[in-house]
Amino acid sequence: MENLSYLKAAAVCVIMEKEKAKQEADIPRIRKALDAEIYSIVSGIRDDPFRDIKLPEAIHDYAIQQGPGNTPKRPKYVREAVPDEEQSKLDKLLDHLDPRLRRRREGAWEALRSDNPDRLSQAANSMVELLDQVITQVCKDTELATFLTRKYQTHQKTEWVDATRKWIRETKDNLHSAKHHVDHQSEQLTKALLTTAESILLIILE
Amino acid sequence: MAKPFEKSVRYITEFLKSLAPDAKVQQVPEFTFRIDLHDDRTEVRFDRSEMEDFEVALGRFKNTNYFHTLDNRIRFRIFIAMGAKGLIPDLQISSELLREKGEWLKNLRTDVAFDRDFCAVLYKGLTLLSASIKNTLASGLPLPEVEAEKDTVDNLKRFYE
Repeated sequence: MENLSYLKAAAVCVIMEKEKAKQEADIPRIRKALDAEIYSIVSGIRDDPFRDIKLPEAIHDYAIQQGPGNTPKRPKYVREAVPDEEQSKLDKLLDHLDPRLRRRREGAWEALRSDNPDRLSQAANSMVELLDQVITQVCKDTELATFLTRKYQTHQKTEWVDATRKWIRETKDNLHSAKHHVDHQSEQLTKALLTTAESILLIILE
Repeated sequence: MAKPFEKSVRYITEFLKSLAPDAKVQQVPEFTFRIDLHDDRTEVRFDRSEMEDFEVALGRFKNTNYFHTLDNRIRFRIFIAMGAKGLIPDLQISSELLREKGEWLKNLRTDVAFDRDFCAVLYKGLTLLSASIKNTLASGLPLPEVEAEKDTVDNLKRFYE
């Protein structure tokens, strides 16, 4: 199995070589021909016996050694870009309030997925700004707590929203101070912040 | 009445649109997706059991390795169908391969044989990989696991020479 892992890595090295050649090619037909070659190799390693074989560490070293220009970046799209059901519901509600708000929600996730060294802080800031804007527009001159208590006739949701907003603000400030230092925990915290803020938005707007 | 595999169909359609926003995406019976972009057309086919499994995974197993495995089967089928026709020229497929998550095989013992062209690809790739491992070893630090990797890769290279 170890051999298969290195063979798969070897195929990925060739794919990266061809991607480099594609970047340098100006002629569309050459780029298209290179694409055909690249995807023929991809097709080979997405089939048995390679498909469920994990790549070895060596391929990540190889990618780094190719230099920043050739280190695979996050693509412009990512799979998380496909919104889940809750996000789709939220987008409709935001559209109803102001279509620019939906763009801001998407912008927060795009910031998180970007290559910007300050991406966590930017993503958190965008989502907190969105939350503040929605609260201002929906509640107008009423306090959020009063608005929610009236809306739901219970204190439970209000208490949760109050506590969660406090957590969001503290997390955002901590992320700001951890600027330019992205670790796994901060990334997970930012994702949690974005998702939790979306839950609050749904409670306010639904 | 809800359409069969509604979540999966929506997921696939939106994924296709996110890859090529200008493409016309159409579901043609049964689980085939037709993509028209400029003058090119390609189709991606899934079978019923794939759609069934993915529908369940989308509902109950999101963010698990099981989900990633099924998700990758769907996504890479799409990448290959569109990529081979040059419909996603800006996508760096190597980054998708390097970031791939899922359930990996723990044990496998099998005999493999590849055609001449693929053997040439493997030989070229093993040469690149071997040179890269040599660079890592040039640090002069004791890296026994990297030395072992170099031996394995060089043995494979000799085999495909």
